[in-house]
Amino acid sequence: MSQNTRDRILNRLKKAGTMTPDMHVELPPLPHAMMDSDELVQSFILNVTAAGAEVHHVEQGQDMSNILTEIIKDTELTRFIVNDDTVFKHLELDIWAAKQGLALIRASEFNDRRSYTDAVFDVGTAGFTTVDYAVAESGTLVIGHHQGHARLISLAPMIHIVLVRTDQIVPVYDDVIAQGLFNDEGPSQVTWITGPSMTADIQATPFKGMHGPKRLVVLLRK
Amino acid sequence: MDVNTEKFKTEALKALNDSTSRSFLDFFLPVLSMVRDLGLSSFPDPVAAVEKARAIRHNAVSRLGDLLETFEKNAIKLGTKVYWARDAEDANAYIMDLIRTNKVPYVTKGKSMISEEIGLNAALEKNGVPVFETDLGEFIIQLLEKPPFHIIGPAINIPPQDICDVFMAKAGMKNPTTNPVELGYAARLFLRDKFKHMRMGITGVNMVVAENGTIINVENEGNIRFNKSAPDIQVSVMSLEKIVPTMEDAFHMLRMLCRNGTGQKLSAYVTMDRGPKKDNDIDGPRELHLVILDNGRSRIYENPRTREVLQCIRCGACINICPVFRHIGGYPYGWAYTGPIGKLLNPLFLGLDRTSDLFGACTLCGACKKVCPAGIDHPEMILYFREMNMAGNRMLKGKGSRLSQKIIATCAAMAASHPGIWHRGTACGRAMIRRLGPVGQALLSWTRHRDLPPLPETSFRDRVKPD
Repeated sequence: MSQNTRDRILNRLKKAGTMTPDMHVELPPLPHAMMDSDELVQSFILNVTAAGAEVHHVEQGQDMSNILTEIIKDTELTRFIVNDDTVFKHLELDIWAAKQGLALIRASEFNDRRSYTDAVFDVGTAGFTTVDYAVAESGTLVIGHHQGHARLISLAPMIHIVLVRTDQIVPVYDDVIAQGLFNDEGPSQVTWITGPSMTADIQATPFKGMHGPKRLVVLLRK
Repeated sequence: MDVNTEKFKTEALKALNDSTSRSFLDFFLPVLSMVRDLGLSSFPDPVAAVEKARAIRHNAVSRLGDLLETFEKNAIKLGTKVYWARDAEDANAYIMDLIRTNKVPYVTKGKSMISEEIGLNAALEKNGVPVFETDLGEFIIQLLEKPPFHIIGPAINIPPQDICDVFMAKAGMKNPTTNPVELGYAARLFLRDKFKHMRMGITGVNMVVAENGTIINVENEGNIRFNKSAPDIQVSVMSLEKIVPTMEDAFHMLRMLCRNGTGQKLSAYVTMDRGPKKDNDIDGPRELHLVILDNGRSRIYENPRTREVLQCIRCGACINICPVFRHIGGYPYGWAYTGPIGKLLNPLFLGLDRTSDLFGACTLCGACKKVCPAGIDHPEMILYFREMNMAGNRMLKGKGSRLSQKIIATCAAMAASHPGIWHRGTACGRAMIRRLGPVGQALLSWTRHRDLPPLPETSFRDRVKPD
């Protein structure tokens, strides 16, 4: 049925054909395309903050420990789920977590999907991830999902903490196209995150954390 | 979805008397139009940005057949299962078959206009499959069994007390509240359980990219992400015109869609699917099905006077600016699509005969055309519908005109093309109307909803005519 339908639809569309010539419009480039690296960082911070995220500068491991300690204060967090990235080891996140009595688990360490799902949906879980890119033009975080970077760790927990290196900030979305995320062998999904989960569906009252994270915390390091 | 387009006039009168909804329309829509303008001002040249978007949609629709073929090839290469559905029944049957084969106990859905168009919820529920809408607004109106009020805020006009009552009755809320935030979290809690155990998620599609087979969704809440990340099986339903040639085009359209819809530079979440999950991925769907729906669109495409409507990206900018919608809201439109775009799509899907009050209720002010980032000339198409309706066009299911209307139209055409008859006729008509007086005027159906100001003794033409 689908093959016949397909052929009938495509034949009809092709037979009707192009009736008017293509239109061409030249656009001036966005200002971000002309920014130097410092300006890009500033623009990223401005936009990601406007979108509702919190931004902290991290110079070294100690800074991160202090910030994370502040974040977990007065929460019921019992575990951090992270993606596969050696940076967490370099920053001695495991040592900090052990001191706080928190479990630190990589999503890829779970033996089966059921136990992973139980953990990632648990109210005591926070997601802590890196990104592939960040985009200055709108303060957007870009994550390609694959074996080493699961989808739900940046979505199911109430808190999503993100580690961004300043050299990962690109000016505009188009700069990401050529970077391999869209190769046939690349990730099965690419997610673009601009702020925490939000809605204003009741009485136009805006609030964060409708289905995804209520807090999006960006740790920015050089 | 039930078709109630023939009740437009009575529903519009009801809506005009609904003070709660009116106060939202008065406040909410001008704010949305204002944030749209602010959003567009972040482009170095906002006018050129709109023109660029119009060009992208025009060019994509111009070569729709070729683009769809290229997209299909690339999507299949990535592992996506593509199904071409002739109509609503065909699409619903395919999804139902997937549910049966995989023994899916319930499905969750992301907000999608196309599922309203094909009546997916009703079709699944008829077969005993529970369906949970997961967008907050859609969830509320599903529980209340109401149609959407607005494309972006389907339940924006519902009083919190009504939401509280229905959440207590049907969504497991324990403690009554009218606080919008607490109501939202009650919905989060209820739907979270559905997300956790879901086997199949169904979403619409904002656009697909021909050059690499990518499927794109735009949202703020995260429910669509859950529907595409948590289940074993993902079903995305797209109308066949939602395609752009390249990623570069997709990015520009994303910029335009978000700015025109909510004024955001980019919505909180944009997801780009590149096939199902890989074998070793711990989450994501093991099967990704894409249903490409025709449902009469290829016929719409064949007619050069209606093809342009397929350029629409469902941003809602025309709805927010429309002076008619700003008074009556979404209920009177009686089917899946509302506002100016509803006045074009509903007649094309349902027939002019069932929707003549929709395209009749337009002032032709052109505000919709002015803001449309997809380049649609709404007033031109509305005039075409009116003409085809009176002419009884069979393809578009025009009503045809009554004998009295035909006589009046023939006489008017003759008078308009003969100046002598026209001048004598208007002088005669003027004298008659002046003699009618207010009582006589009240008897004319034309003056039932309009004022007929007193006419001067001589016409403007006679007064300015050189001696």
